[in-house]
Amino acid sequence: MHDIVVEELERHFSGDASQAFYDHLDACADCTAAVAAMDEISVCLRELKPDPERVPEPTLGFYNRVTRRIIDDQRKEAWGLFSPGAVFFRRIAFASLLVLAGLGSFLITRDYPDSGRDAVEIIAQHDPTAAHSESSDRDRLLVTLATYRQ
Amino acid sequence: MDYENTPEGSLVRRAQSGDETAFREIVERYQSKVFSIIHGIVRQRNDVEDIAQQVFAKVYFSIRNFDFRSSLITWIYKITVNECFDYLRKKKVRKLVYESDMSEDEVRRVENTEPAVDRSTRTDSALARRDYIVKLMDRVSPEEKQLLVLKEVEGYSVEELAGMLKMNENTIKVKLFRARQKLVKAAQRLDKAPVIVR
Repeated sequence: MHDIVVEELERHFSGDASQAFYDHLDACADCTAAVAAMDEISVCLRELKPDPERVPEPTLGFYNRVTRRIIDDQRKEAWGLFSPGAVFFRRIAFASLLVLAGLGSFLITRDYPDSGRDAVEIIAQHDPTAAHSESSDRDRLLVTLATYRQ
Repeated sequence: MDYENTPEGSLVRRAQSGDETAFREIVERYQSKVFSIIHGIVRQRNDVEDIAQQVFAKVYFSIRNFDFRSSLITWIYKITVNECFDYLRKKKVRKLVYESDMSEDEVRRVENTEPAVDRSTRTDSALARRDYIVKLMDRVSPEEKQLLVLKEVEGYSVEELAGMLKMNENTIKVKLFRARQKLVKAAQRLDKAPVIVR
Protein backbone atom coordinates (compact mmCIF):
# COMPACT_ATOMS: atom_id res chain seq x y z
CA MET A 1 0.00 0.00 0.00
CA HIS A 2 1.35 3.41 -0.92
CA ASP A 3 2.11 6.11 1.67
CA ILE A 4 -0.48 8.52 0.37
CA VAL A 5 -3.21 5.99 1.13
CA VAL A 6 -2.03 5.46 4.70
CA GLU A 7 -1.78 9.21 5.12
CA GLU A 8 -5.17 10.14 3.69
CA LEU A 9 -7.31 7.09 4.34
CA GLU A 10 -9.02 8.44 7.44
CA ARG A 11 -9.74 11.71 5.67
CA HIS A 12 -11.25 9.68 2.85
CA PHE A 13 -13.64 8.05 5.35
CA SER A 14 -14.55 11.49 6.66
CA GLY A 15 -15.12 12.65 3.08
CA ASP A 16 -12.32 15.18 2.81
CA ALA A 17 -9.35 13.42 1.23
CA SER A 18 -7.24 15.40 -1.23
CA GLN A 19 -7.52 15.16 -5.01
CA ALA A 20 -4.03 13.62 -5.03
CA PHE A 21 -5.43 10.66 -3.08
CA TYR A 22 -8.13 10.00 -5.68
CA ASP A 23 -5.67 10.57 -8.53
CA HIS A 24 -3.49 7.91 -6.96
CA LEU A 25 -6.41 5.51 -6.70
CA ASP A 26 -7.17 6.05 -10.39
CA ALA A 27 -3.62 5.03 -11.19
CA CYS A 28 -3.11 2.19 -8.71
CA ALA A 29 -5.33 -0.89 -8.95
CA ASP A 30 -3.97 -2.48 -5.75
CA CYS A 31 -4.71 0.57 -3.64
CA THR A 32 -8.14 0.94 -5.25
CA ALA A 33 -9.03 -2.64 -4.35
CA ALA A 34 -7.74 -2.27 -0.79
CA VAL A 35 -9.63 0.99 -0.22
CA ALA A 36 -12.81 -0.52 -1.66
CA ALA A 37 -12.55 -3.45 0.77
CA MET A 38 -11.98 -1.03 3.65
CA ASP A 39 -14.94 1.08 2.51
CA GLU A 40 -17.19 -1.97 2.69
CA ILE A 41 -16.09 -2.78 6.23
CA SER A 42 -16.42 0.84 7.27
CA VAL A 43 -20.10 0.74 6.25
CA CYS A 44 -20.60 -2.35 8.41
CA LEU A 45 -18.91 -0.72 11.38
CA ARG A 46 -21.09 2.36 11.14
CA GLU A 47 -24.07 0.16 11.80
CA LEU A 48 -22.91 -0.02 15.39
CA LYS A 49 -23.95 3.61 15.78
CA PRO A 50 -26.61 3.78 18.49
CA ASP A 51 -30.07 4.95 17.58
CA PRO A 52 -30.79 7.65 20.20
CA GLU A 53 -34.53 6.96 20.06
CA ARG A 54 -34.09 3.32 20.98
CA VAL A 55 -31.35 3.49 23.58
CA PRO A 56 -32.80 2.41 26.94
CA GLU A 57 -32.21 4.79 29.82
CA PRO A 58 -30.71 3.48 33.06
CA THR A 59 -33.57 2.74 35.42
CA LEU A 60 -33.88 3.83 39.02
CA GLY A 61 -31.60 1.94 41.36
CA PHE A 62 -28.99 1.13 38.71
CA TYR A 63 -26.16 2.20 41.02
CA ASN A 64 -27.48 -0.08 43.79
CA ARG A 65 -27.57 -3.00 41.39
CA VAL A 66 -23.99 -2.25 40.35
CA THR A 67 -22.83 -2.26 43.98
CA ARG A 68 -24.72 -5.52 44.62
CA ARG A 69 -22.91 -7.05 41.67
CA ILE A 70 -19.57 -5.78 42.96
CA ILE A 71 -20.26 -7.38 46.36
CA ASP A 72 -21.23 -10.66 44.65
CA ASP A 73 -18.05 -10.57 42.56
CA GLN A 74 -15.96 -9.90 45.65
CA ARG A 75 -17.58 -12.87 47.42
CA LYS A 76 -16.93 -15.12 44.46
CA GLU A 77 -13.33 -13.93 44.35
CA ALA A 78 -12.86 -14.54 48.08
CA TRP A 79 -14.39 -18.01 47.75
CA GLY A 80 -12.19 -18.63 44.73
CA LEU A 81 -9.08 -18.20 46.91
CA PHE A 82 -10.14 -21.16 49.06
CA SER A 83 -11.95 -23.14 46.43
CA PRO A 84 -9.60 -25.51 44.63
CA GLY A 85 -11.64 -25.37 41.42
CA ALA A 86 -12.56 -27.96 38.84
CA VAL A 87 -8.98 -28.81 37.85
CA PHE A 88 -8.20 -29.87 41.40
CA PHE A 89 -11.22 -32.19 41.52
CA ARG A 90 -10.33 -33.65 38.12
CA ARG A 91 -6.83 -34.42 39.37
CA ILE A 92 -8.18 -36.02 42.54
CA ALA A 93 -10.53 -38.21 40.45
CA PHE A 94 -7.69 -39.21 38.14
CA ALA A 95 -5.39 -40.06 41.06
CA SER A 96 -8.16 -42.15 42.68
CA LEU A 97 -8.65 -44.07 39.45
CA LEU A 98 -4.91 -44.76 39.24
CA VAL A 99 -4.85 -46.03 42.83
CA LEU A 100 -7.88 -48.27 42.18
CA ALA A 101 -6.35 -49.64 38.99
CA GLY A 102 -3.03 -50.35 40.77
CA LEU A 103 -4.76 -52.02 43.70
CA GLY A 104 -6.93 -54.12 41.39
CA SER A 105 -4.02 -55.38 39.33
CA PHE A 106 -2.09 -56.18 42.54
CA LEU A 107 -4.99 -58.25 43.87
CA ILE A 108 -5.42 -60.10 40.59
CA THR A 109 -1.75 -60.99 40.09
CA ARG A 110 -0.98 -61.78 43.73
CA ASP A 111 0.10 -65.44 44.31
CA TYR A 112 -1.82 -66.80 47.34
CA PRO A 113 0.15 -69.26 49.54
CA ASP A 114 -1.72 -72.55 50.38
CA SER A 115 -3.37 -71.94 53.65
CA GLY A 116 -4.62 -75.50 54.39
CA ARG A 117 -2.70 -78.51 55.52
CA ASP A 118 0.03 -79.80 53.34
CA ALA A 119 -1.11 -82.68 51.06
CA VAL A 120 1.85 -84.87 51.95
CA GLU A 121 0.93 -84.47 55.60
CA ILE A 122 -2.66 -85.50 54.91
CA ILE A 123 -1.56 -88.58 52.94
CA ALA A 124 0.75 -89.60 55.74
CA GLN A 125 -2.03 -89.28 58.27
CA HIS A 126 -4.45 -91.26 56.20
CA ASP A 127 -5.43 -94.57 57.70
CA PRO A 128 -7.32 -96.71 55.13
CA THR A 129 -8.28 -99.25 57.81
CA ALA A 130 -10.09 -96.73 59.96
CA ALA A 131 -13.85 -96.88 60.14
CA HIS A 132 -15.82 -94.67 57.82
CA SER A 133 -17.11 -91.51 59.23
CA GLU A 134 -18.36 -88.37 57.63
CA SER A 135 -15.27 -86.41 58.56
CA SER A 136 -12.88 -89.16 57.49
CA ASP A 137 -14.65 -89.42 54.15
CA ARG A 138 -14.14 -85.74 53.67
CA ASP A 139 -10.47 -86.13 54.51
CA ARG A 140 -10.18 -88.99 52.07
CA LEU A 141 -11.69 -86.93 49.35
CA LEU A 142 -9.22 -84.19 50.12
CA VAL A 143 -6.36 -86.64 50.00
CA THR A 144 -7.53 -87.87 46.62
CA LEU A 145 -7.73 -84.34 45.34
CA ALA A 146 -4.34 -83.44 46.79
CA THR A 147 -2.75 -86.53 45.29
CA TYR A 148 -4.31 -85.76 41.97
CA ARG A 149 -2.95 -82.21 42.15
CA GLN A 150 0.56 -83.42 42.98
CA MET B 1 -4.12 21.73 32.14
CA ASP B 2 -2.95 18.24 33.00
CA TYR B 3 -5.91 15.82 33.14
CA GLU B 4 -4.84 14.57 36.54
CA ASN B 5 -5.35 18.06 37.94
CA THR B 6 -8.79 18.60 36.44
CA PRO B 7 -11.94 18.20 38.60
CA GLU B 8 -12.51 14.83 36.94
CA GLY B 9 -8.93 13.84 37.67
CA SER B 10 -9.47 14.50 41.36
CA LEU B 11 -12.75 12.56 41.21
CA VAL B 12 -10.80 9.59 39.88
CA ARG B 13 -8.15 10.03 42.59
CA ARG B 14 -10.90 9.89 45.21
CA ALA B 15 -12.37 6.75 43.65
CA GLN B 16 -8.91 5.21 43.53
CA SER B 17 -8.52 5.79 47.26
CA GLY B 18 -11.79 3.91 47.90
CA ASP B 19 -14.24 6.83 48.16
CA GLU B 20 -17.65 5.26 47.43
CA THR B 21 -19.33 8.60 46.70
CA ALA B 22 -16.72 9.33 44.03
CA PHE B 23 -17.42 5.98 42.42
CA ARG B 24 -21.14 6.66 42.57
CA GLU B 25 -20.57 9.99 40.86
CA ILE B 26 -18.61 8.26 38.09
CA VAL B 27 -21.43 5.73 37.56
CA GLU B 28 -24.10 8.41 37.48
CA ARG B 29 -22.06 10.64 35.18
CA TYR B 30 -21.38 7.97 32.57
CA GLN B 31 -24.22 5.44 32.85
CA SER B 32 -26.24 6.93 29.98
CA LYS B 33 -23.21 7.01 27.72
CA VAL B 34 -22.36 3.40 28.57
CA PHE B 35 -25.96 2.31 27.91
CA SER B 36 -25.84 4.05 24.54
CA ILE B 37 -22.56 2.41 23.48
CA ILE B 38 -23.80 -1.03 24.55
CA HIS B 39 -27.11 -0.69 22.77
CA GLY B 40 -25.37 0.44 19.58
CA ILE B 41 -23.21 -2.66 19.56
CA VAL B 42 -25.43 -5.43 20.93
CA ARG B 43 -28.92 -4.13 20.00
CA GLN B 44 -30.37 -6.22 22.78
CA ARG B 45 -32.47 -4.01 24.98
CA ASN B 46 -32.83 -6.70 27.63
CA ASP B 47 -29.12 -7.24 28.05
CA VAL B 48 -27.98 -3.63 28.07
CA GLU B 49 -28.32 -3.18 31.83
CA ASP B 50 -26.58 -6.48 32.58
CA ILE B 51 -23.58 -5.56 30.44
CA ALA B 52 -23.55 -2.03 31.91
CA GLN B 53 -23.42 -3.48 35.42
CA GLN B 54 -20.50 -5.65 34.36
CA VAL B 55 -18.74 -2.63 32.86
CA PHE B 56 -19.05 -0.58 36.06
CA ALA B 57 -18.00 -3.54 38.21
CA LYS B 58 -14.86 -3.74 36.07
CA VAL B 59 -14.36 0.00 36.43
CA TYR B 60 -14.63 -0.40 40.22
CA PHE B 61 -12.11 -3.26 40.36
CA SER B 62 -9.56 -1.72 38.02
CA ILE B 63 -9.82 2.00 38.72
CA ARG B 64 -6.60 1.76 40.72
CA ASN B 65 -4.84 0.86 37.46
CA PHE B 66 -6.16 3.94 35.67
CA ASP B 67 -3.02 5.92 34.82
CA PHE B 68 -4.46 9.22 33.52
CA ARG B 69 -2.94 8.69 30.08
CA SER B 70 -6.40 9.19 28.58
CA SER B 71 -9.61 10.66 29.91
CA LEU B 72 -11.83 8.57 32.16
CA ILE B 73 -14.56 8.24 29.52
CA THR B 74 -12.04 7.03 26.92
CA TRP B 75 -10.93 4.36 29.38
CA ILE B 76 -14.53 3.40 30.25
CA TYR B 77 -15.29 3.37 26.52
CA LYS B 78 -12.56 0.79 25.94
CA ILE B 79 -13.88 -1.43 28.75
CA THR B 80 -17.43 -1.12 27.39
CA VAL B 81 -16.53 -1.98 23.79
CA ASN B 82 -14.61 -5.05 24.92
CA GLU B 83 -17.40 -6.19 27.21
CA CYS B 84 -19.88 -5.90 24.33
CA PHE B 85 -17.81 -7.96 21.92
CA ASP B 86 -17.10 -10.53 24.64
CA TYR B 87 -20.82 -10.77 25.26
CA LEU B 88 -21.61 -11.17 21.57
CA ARG B 89 -18.91 -13.78 21.12
CA LYS B 90 -20.23 -15.77 24.06
CA LYS B 91 -23.85 -15.44 23.07
CA LYS B 92 -23.35 -16.35 19.40
CA VAL B 93 -25.00 -13.43 17.73
CA ARG B 94 -27.03 -15.54 15.31
CA LYS B 95 -29.13 -16.78 18.15
CA LEU B 96 -30.16 -13.29 19.20
CA VAL B 97 -33.73 -12.30 18.51
CA TYR B 98 -33.59 -9.09 16.59
CA GLU B 99 -37.15 -8.13 17.41
CA SER B 100 -36.31 -7.85 21.09
CA ASP B 101 -34.88 -4.47 20.13
CA MET B 102 -38.39 -3.28 19.28
CA SER B 103 -41.21 -2.45 21.59
CA GLU B 104 -44.27 -4.70 21.52
CA ASP B 105 -46.21 -2.05 19.61
CA GLU B 106 -43.47 -1.80 17.02
CA VAL B 107 -43.35 -5.54 16.57
CA ARG B 108 -47.15 -5.63 16.12
CA ARG B 109 -47.02 -2.74 13.65
CA VAL B 110 -44.26 -4.37 11.63
CA GLU B 111 -46.14 -7.67 11.65
CA ASN B 112 -49.30 -6.00 10.38
CA THR B 113 -47.75 -3.88 7.68
CA GLU B 114 -44.88 -5.84 6.22
CA PRO B 115 -45.11 -9.08 4.31
CA ALA B 116 -43.60 -11.90 6.36
CA VAL B 117 -40.97 -12.69 3.73
CA ASP B 118 -39.60 -9.11 3.71
CA ARG B 119 -39.52 -9.02 7.45
CA SER B 120 -37.61 -12.25 7.85
CA THR B 121 -35.19 -11.30 5.07
CA ARG B 122 -34.47 -8.00 6.76
CA THR B 123 -34.01 -9.64 10.14
CA ASP B 124 -31.73 -12.34 8.74
CA SER B 125 -29.69 -9.75 6.93
CA ALA B 126 -29.33 -7.57 10.02
CA LEU B 127 -28.31 -10.57 12.11
CA ALA B 128 -25.88 -11.77 9.47
CA ARG B 129 -24.19 -8.37 9.35
CA ARG B 130 -23.90 -8.20 13.13
CA ASP B 131 -22.50 -11.71 13.22
CA TYR B 132 -20.06 -10.68 10.51
CA ILE B 133 -18.92 -7.59 12.42
CA VAL B 134 -18.41 -9.62 15.60
CA LYS B 135 -16.29 -12.14 13.73
CA LEU B 136 -14.21 -9.40 12.16
CA MET B 137 -13.72 -7.50 15.41
CA ASP B 138 -12.56 -10.71 17.01
CA ARG B 139 -9.39 -10.43 14.94
CA VAL B 140 -8.24 -7.07 16.28
CA SER B 141 -6.81 -6.10 19.65
CA PRO B 142 -8.84 -4.29 22.33
CA GLU B 143 -6.99 -1.08 21.52
CA GLU B 144 -7.77 -1.42 17.82
CA LYS B 145 -11.42 -2.14 18.59
CA GLN B 146 -11.59 0.99 20.68
CA LEU B 147 -9.97 3.09 17.94
CA LEU B 148 -12.24 1.73 15.22
CA VAL B 149 -15.40 2.25 17.24
CA LEU B 150 -14.38 5.75 18.33
CA LYS B 151 -13.64 6.65 14.72
CA GLU B 152 -16.47 4.90 12.88
CA VAL B 153 -19.25 4.91 15.44
CA GLU B 154 -18.58 8.00 17.51
CA GLY B 155 -17.23 9.90 14.54
CA TYR B 156 -14.11 11.34 16.17
CA SER B 157 -11.47 12.72 13.84
CA VAL B 158 -7.84 11.59 13.90
CA GLU B 159 -6.90 14.90 15.57
CA GLU B 160 -9.50 14.38 18.30
CA LEU B 161 -8.42 10.79 18.85
CA ALA B 162 -4.80 11.89 19.14
CA GLY B 163 -5.82 14.37 21.83
CA MET B 164 -8.04 11.91 23.68
CA LEU B 165 -5.54 9.06 23.67
CA LYS B 166 -2.44 11.25 24.11
CA MET B 167 -0.89 9.88 20.94
CA ASN B 168 0.70 11.38 17.88
CA GLU B 169 -1.69 11.84 14.90
CA ASN B 170 0.52 9.71 12.67
CA THR B 171 0.48 6.95 15.26
CA ILE B 172 -3.32 7.03 15.24
CA LYS B 173 -3.39 6.91 11.42
CA VAL B 174 -1.01 3.97 11.28
CA LYS B 175 -2.83 2.09 14.06
CA LEU B 176 -6.18 2.59 12.33
CA PHE B 177 -4.71 1.60 9.00
CA ARG B 178 -3.29 -1.62 10.45
CA ALA B 179 -6.57 -2.39 12.19
CA ARG B 180 -8.45 -1.90 8.91
CA GLN B 181 -5.97 -4.11 7.10
CA LYS B 182 -6.56 -6.84 9.67
CA LEU B 183 -10.30 -6.51 9.16
CA VAL B 184 -9.91 -6.80 5.39
CA LYS B 185 -7.80 -9.93 5.78
CA ALA B 186 -10.35 -11.39 8.19
CA ALA B 187 -13.14 -10.52 5.74
CA GLN B 188 -11.30 -12.24 2.92
CA ARG B 189 -11.10 -15.34 5.09
CA LEU B 190 -14.80 -15.11 5.84
CA ASP B 191 -15.58 -14.76 2.14
CA LYS B 192 -17.55 -11.81 0.92
CA ALA B 193 -19.23 -9.29 3.19
CA PRO B 194 -22.98 -9.67 3.41
CA VAL B 195 -24.97 -7.40 1.14
CA ILE B 196 -25.73 -4.14 2.87
CA VAL B 197 -29.47 -3.53 3.10
CA ARG B 198 -30.40 0.11 3.41
